Amino acid sequence: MSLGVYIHIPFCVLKCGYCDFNTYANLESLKLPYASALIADLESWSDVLGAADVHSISFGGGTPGEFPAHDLVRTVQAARRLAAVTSEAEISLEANPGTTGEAGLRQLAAGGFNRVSFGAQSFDPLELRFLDRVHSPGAITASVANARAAGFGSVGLDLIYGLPGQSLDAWLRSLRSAVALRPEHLSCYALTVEEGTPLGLAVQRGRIPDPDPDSAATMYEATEEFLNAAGYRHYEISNWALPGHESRHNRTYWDGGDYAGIGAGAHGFIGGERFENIAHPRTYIAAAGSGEGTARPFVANSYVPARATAISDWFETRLRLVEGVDIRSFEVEFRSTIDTVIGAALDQCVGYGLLARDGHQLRLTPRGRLLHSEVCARVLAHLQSQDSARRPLE
Amino acid sequence: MDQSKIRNFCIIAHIDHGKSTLADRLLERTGTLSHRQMAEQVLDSMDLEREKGITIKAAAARMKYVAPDGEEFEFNLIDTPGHVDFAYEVSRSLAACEGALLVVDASQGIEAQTLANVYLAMNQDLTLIPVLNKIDLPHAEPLRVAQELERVVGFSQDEIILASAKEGKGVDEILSAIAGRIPPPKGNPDAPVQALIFDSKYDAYKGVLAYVRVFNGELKGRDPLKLMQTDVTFDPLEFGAFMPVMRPLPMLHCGEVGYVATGLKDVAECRVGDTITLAAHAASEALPGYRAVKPMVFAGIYPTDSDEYQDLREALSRLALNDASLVYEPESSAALGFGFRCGFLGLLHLEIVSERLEREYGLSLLTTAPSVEYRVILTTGEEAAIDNPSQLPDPSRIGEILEPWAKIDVITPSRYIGQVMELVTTRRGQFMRMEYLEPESEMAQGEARVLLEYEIPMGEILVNFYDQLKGSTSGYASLDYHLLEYRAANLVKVDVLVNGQAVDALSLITYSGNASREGRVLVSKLRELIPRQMFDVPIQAAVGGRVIARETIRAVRKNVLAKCYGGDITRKRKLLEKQAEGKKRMKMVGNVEIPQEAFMAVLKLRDD
Ligand SMILES: Nc1nc2c(ncn2[C@@H]2O[C@H](COP(=O)(O)OP(=O)(O)OP(=O)(O)O)[C@@H](O)[C@H]2O)c(=O)[nH]1
Ligand code: SF4
Ligand SMILES: [Mg+2]
Repeated sequence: MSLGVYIHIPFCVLKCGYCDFNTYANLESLKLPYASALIADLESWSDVLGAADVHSISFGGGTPGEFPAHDLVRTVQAARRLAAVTSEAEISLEANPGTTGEAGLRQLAAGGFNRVSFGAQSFDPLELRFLDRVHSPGAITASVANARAAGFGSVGLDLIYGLPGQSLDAWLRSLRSAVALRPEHLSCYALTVEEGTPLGLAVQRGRIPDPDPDSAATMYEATEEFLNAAGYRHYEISNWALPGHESRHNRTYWDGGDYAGIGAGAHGFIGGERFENIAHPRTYIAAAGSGEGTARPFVANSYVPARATAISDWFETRLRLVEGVDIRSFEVEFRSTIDTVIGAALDQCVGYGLLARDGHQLRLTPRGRLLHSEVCARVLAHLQSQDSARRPLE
Repeated sequence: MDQSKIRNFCIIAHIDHGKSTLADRLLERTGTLSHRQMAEQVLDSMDLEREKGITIKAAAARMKYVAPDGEEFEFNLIDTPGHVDFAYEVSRSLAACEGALLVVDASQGIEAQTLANVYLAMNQDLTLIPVLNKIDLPHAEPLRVAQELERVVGFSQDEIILASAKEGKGVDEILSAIAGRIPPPKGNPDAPVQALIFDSKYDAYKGVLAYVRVFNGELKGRDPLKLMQTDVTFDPLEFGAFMPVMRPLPMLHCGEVGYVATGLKDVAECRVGDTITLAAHAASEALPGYRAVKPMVFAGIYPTDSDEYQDLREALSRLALNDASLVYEPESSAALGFGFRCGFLGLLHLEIVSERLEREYGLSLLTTAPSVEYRVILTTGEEAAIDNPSQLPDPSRIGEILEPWAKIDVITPSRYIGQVMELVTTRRGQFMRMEYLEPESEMAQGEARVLLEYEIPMGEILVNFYDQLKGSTSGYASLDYHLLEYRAANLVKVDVLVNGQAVDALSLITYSGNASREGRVLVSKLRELIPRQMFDVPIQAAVGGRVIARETIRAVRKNVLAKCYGGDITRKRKLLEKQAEGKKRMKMVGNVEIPQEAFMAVLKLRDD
């Protein structure tokens, strides 16, 4: 089996107002025991890892860049001890600009890391402040330079667009600044207002206007055009890369590949089964001690999705890829043709100009890329109504 | 039980004056329910009643009362709802009783339904026991309200009992007044059986349960019984009484209230108001029964999933058994498919019915905007009743349209007379009469309570009128209404076109002077309520083919979820499930997905 390994680092210096990830500020004191728990977590999967080729190890968060570099390296070493990590494996981390110095980056590169992506978000100081980001635009430039000097062959930047009141010009300025640094990889995400976050509350109370989806759509279209011209290949709804620099690890998710989820609240998908770890770092660490006797002490929940869910997940992930998906792989996985299962929903989406079919390939149209959820919700509604039709009458 | 020791009575009042709470105290004091079994408003057993804090269904309970001198009585109590939409429950319950406790909130005084209920009870010659409740409240004015009762209803001061259902004050006095003042049921135990069905319910095991009051004879044994109106014979499965849960008993005596399990599966065979008698030895005539109810409001009820039409039919027939004021007949709509046109006593009734259908029968329903029933005189001289705006004939065929008018009674402190007048006149109402319930001279300026009578088109009070009345009187006004007569009016039909296609379920009939304003408001409400689609959707309002308002819902451009963080697909799945669920609750009209709320947009025309 070829496996990706995701490792979650649930610590941040500050919790950003829009963020609803499983991450915590002010839990510094847990970092040391957490590092050991990560290794125990990896060991609890030794049966799976022992039989796998690992093609990617990805540290996400949170901010892995602020986690002690030697602990990150130690974790990678543990993975190498337990699994066959291939020689060209992608070993990556996320970091915030300005927080991981050149020395740290060198240490990571020496420990096998070959890819880093910085949460740049914006090059506008006011926008950065709105996002609760502590770094300056200059720190982004410096971090990219440091990463290159340390020998990272793939440097990525994450950007956020569609802030309330943001103009198209303002967004393009940030995008241009980012491209000027020639990162190998760019992720551009529309700001999502999540319920329960400080930003969500501010919007709900009317203190901050809801971001306008139409202007976000305009920015997205401008982004596609601009990055295309700049030589970046658009390969997933929100991701662009220079040739050869697509994220192997993230592709695992979109291709429906297997991956282990290590760390607090991490999710894994192995052999058709989904796993979800204990979410809070404190409880997660505690599980390391109590692990005797349980095969997977860190897993809070695991299940094999029902067919309708599995089909819906299949669409959700595969259709995110710009190249689309070969529908014959659907037949291999679900043993019926895509048209018998959800033909009507697909035809409708084709009719609306959201999906295109040519030959065996099914993919989102440029317009459909902005309406991915419309496609998926139609597919799911269709699947569910078929399910209920099949339910025997009481 | 010795017939002379039976007392049958209802508790009647304006909404919220404390009927159900008083019933709690009676059940408690007589030891019918132990402290452990007790809950607040224990007779409000339906989920919806508990959630909304109001009584919807009348509920019966039998109690044993031992007077201080040791004499034993059997009390049959029926707690009734106070809201005007459920007045039919009250009038049916009254027919099973000899007396009624008239509860009046001592901090509010007489209100519109207090009077309405008094008249209902008096028409049936019931003995009334006035109870001034909530005297524990700091702003209660028992003296003032007692005088009001004396002046308006004619009670003498010493008849009136002061009580606090909350604190249990006055309960003993009420119990002894029930025993002392309310006459025992008349009836002859040896005469042929006559039992009036005043309510009913469907039970999966026992078939139709008929709630009865035995007027003559006795119900016992296995002898076949007969329903006199429908001429259906059945073998009774069980007799019993409400304690307050159903408890089987060997027999029901003459004068008692209880239930008969009929075993009948066809709910149409057993109607409220029918008389049960012995098949072999039938009574010569049926009891008077009830006047059929006249629904005031009509709306279409459709299954969101057209496959559920048969389920809806079955659910309606069973619910109608437990709600004798609900009427329905099949109808179809080009936009919505097959459903039912239902008649209700008011908007709360409509809301309760559709919620009960959804909850008790697991259906997902769509309700169209409510309408009154119009009468149309065609140019041919024929007359047609129109309770669905889309059925209004072409204007060229119409000679005249008549609309129902209501008489409304408003009770309010006199300082709000101006506001009430204004509200009523903007809705085409006409002032008829005013009566002070208290002498103005003895009260502080604007304090004295006054009864205002108006005549007003029923269609004008359907929507938001009550809320606005409450709003413009700081909550003080109460309202009662009933149908008066039909009068000619200058009415037009406003059609709504969505994406160029007329949607029958969205049309409305309105006063021609209001048509263009209402058309504009309706179109802009629809623009808010209908979500953006995959393409631009024009929305138009038209009168007789002439477009009077237009707006466009722009196609949606962006609906995509952010990245799947660290391989966690579950959160996106939840969001997608929510979106898919939303889609399923939409009705496809042409290729536009219209949410349920849009069909009720008409209700929002008077929001501002
Ligand atoms: N303070 C005080 N509150 C009371 C008293 N009796 C009832 N209430 C309150 O008044 C409210 C309405 O009481 P209910 O018993 O539900 O009134 P109801 O007349 O049955 O109402 P409907 O059946 O909906 O017409 C509740 O909040 C009760 O707690 C009382 O004697 N004193
Ligand atoms: S740094 Fe990233 S993970 Fe941490 S709180 Fe901010 S957005 Fe969330
Ligand atoms: Mg009540």
